[in-house]
Amino acid sequence: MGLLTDPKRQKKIVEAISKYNNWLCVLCYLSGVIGFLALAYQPLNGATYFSENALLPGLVTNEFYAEINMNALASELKEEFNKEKRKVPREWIYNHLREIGLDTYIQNYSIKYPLDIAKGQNIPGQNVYGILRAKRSASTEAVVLTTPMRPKDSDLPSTTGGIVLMLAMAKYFRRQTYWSKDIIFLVSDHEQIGLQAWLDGYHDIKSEYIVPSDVMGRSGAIQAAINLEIPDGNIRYFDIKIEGMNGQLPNLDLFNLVVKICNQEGVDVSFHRNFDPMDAQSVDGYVQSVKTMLEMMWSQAAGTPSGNHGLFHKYHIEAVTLQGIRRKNSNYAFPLERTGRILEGIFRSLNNLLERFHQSFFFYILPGTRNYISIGMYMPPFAVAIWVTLKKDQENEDKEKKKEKEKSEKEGEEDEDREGKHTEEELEKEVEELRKTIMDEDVEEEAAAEGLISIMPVILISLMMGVFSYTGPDFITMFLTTF
Amino acid sequence: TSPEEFFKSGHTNNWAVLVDTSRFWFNYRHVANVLSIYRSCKRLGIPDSRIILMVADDMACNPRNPRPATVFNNANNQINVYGDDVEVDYRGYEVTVENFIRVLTGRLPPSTPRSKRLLSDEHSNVLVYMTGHGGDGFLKFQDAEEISNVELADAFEQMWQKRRYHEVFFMIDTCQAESMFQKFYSPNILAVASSKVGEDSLSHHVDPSIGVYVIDRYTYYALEFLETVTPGSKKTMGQFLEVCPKYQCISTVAKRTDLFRRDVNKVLLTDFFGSVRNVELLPDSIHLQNATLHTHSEDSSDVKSDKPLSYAQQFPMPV
Repeated sequence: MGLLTDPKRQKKIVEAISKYNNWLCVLCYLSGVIGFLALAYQPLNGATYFSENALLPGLVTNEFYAEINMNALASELKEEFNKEKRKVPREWIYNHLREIGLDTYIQNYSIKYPLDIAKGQNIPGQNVYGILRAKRSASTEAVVLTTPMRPKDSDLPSTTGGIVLMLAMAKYFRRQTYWSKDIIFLVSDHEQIGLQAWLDGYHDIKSEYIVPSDVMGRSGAIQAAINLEIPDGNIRYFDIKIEGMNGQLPNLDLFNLVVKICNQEGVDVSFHRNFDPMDAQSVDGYVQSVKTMLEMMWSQAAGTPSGNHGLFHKYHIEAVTLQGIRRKNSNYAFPLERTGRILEGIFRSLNNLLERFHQSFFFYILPGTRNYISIGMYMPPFAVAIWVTLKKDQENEDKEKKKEKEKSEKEGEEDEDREGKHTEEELEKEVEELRKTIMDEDVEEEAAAEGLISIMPVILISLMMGVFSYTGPDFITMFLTTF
Repeated sequence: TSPEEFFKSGHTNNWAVLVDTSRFWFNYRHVANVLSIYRSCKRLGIPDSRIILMVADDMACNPRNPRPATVFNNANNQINVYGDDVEVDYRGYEVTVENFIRVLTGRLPPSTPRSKRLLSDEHSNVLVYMTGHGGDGFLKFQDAEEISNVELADAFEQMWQKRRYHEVFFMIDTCQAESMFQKFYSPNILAVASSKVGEDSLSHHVDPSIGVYVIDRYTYYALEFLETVTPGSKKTMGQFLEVCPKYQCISTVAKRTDLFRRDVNKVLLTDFFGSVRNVELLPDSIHLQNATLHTHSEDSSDVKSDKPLSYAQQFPMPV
């Protein structure tokens, strides 16, 4: 027969593997880790592309201009924040959204901290949100533009620029007739807890610790969300954050969309504060790519979302955070209006969507903004590195089984000694039983050897077949062109 | 000229079946394609009553359209091809493979109104234009079903056997469009496709104020050619088949002339795209025989017959 079914040959392979077990383990682990890191090298990974045809990213010219004086509004908002260092100016935002003409609502919620952190008190909170209804379509779908409100004494950077920009965008968007989805402008407080309260209230989910009141104003199913963390003043570049809770990621199409629109407007965009290297194939470029890749994996491993956007992923809503980074005395800083045009481009593309994001990858690692490593590419080296643990585990199992056999043999001998004065019949019975046990032991031996190790040849061969099937047609067409 | 030379083409009426098979906002250009050809046909003389227009989605009233109630086929000239005089016969979800084949073969339920029927006879020249997304051997209808080239060839054969056309000009603008006419086997069909098997047909340009591609390459250059054609034009089908060479279309335009009996270089473009009434002023007089005198005297004896009179079946309807 062959390698797959002949037990003797299988045993030979198994024995060969067991003999060099330790060396093989070290080799596998090292090659797995090196292979994984090598994926960050640009020729080995793929350039990003759009899988969703409906997006039509960047085809339309963005015409946003601020009708209101954003700088004046920003200073007014800063004064409001300065009035009370611990509180946030909800009414101010509520009134402005109302003035623009959106369906504005305030959502109340209370937080019950576990472990008696707040000594039994329920902390209240309020989210402010306004819904821009699409005039020419039913409110069956929505997209969200959100930003957190941070009081003056918070140690996180302020987001006043983002709030002012949202108001300007709401005013601009309201005049347009081409919306096919509702747009929800959400300003939340208490950082991630407030947003979680809003999402729970929107989707009518009860929780013990975050108790939202009913969300009065509702739209349809949310397709995508953009979270802004933009301070006031001129921004030098954007940082995109994608990691969600427990390392969940948004669809790669949304990330590519944001990167493309930023590039179109001439704005630098970074990922984990790293820009794409000038020459990705050089040593420096490779080191930078690996650094970015490892930083992303580190951030995912932490399990906490890197921004408010991470809370949306649980509801199958794709979301990213755009964080504006300021640099004092920078010549390349751009005004808030350009951010507005970027957001307009993103929302026009999201407007074209007919279905939820589902075409592109949900599992990927990014070594930069223009390349990606999909799960199909990073799983094989990872599996090779992990195979070590399976092998070692099997070895330990074998050792234990051998010890058990020795023990049972000793016990069997003791039993025999005790019952030495039996009749011949019983002796014959015992001989038969002994024979059976010996036979069983043989079978056991074979069974033990046949554990995980014995299917290794099968796995190896099927992997090889997979590789040949994948690369074979290319090979064959190259060499047999006259077919 | 003698009366025989007057009717060189052999057809007495023109029909057009114009089909757009794609829906969704990002397929705006397919609707613009078919509406542009519709406008050309109407301009050259085919009336709405002789055009079956099938448009799979409503781009003009799509909420994403920043210019509601309009469809443009050109970013600069801004020709609105969707005005208030567009008659769409099959709209939205009515554009299905079944309806399309029923229209071609005439097998429609008795309740179908006349505006949705292809009432052609053996002297009709039919122009069939199809656009959408296609592949090797099929054309996608509505993102849900496909029509294969074999089905299409059989539909045309049914038309031939029921004497529903005199000549057909089949025009198709999709990816791998050549495959759709490869299986034709009925006589008198002239076909042109925008791309060969294995090639993609490409769109022409984007309208940045709307944010979509507004027209496909082959249709764009075909329209450019048609704009130079007037009802009295002597431009031939041979010239039309050479429209959009490879450097303009990027895909290779494929054509099929083996089933067509006449020489394409002698066939007028208006034989298919327009509805032209030949008018020729003769300086001399033609003597016609008075054939009615004889029949009248013969019939007078049979006037008082007992046979009851009844109307003849003009268009035999299916049972």
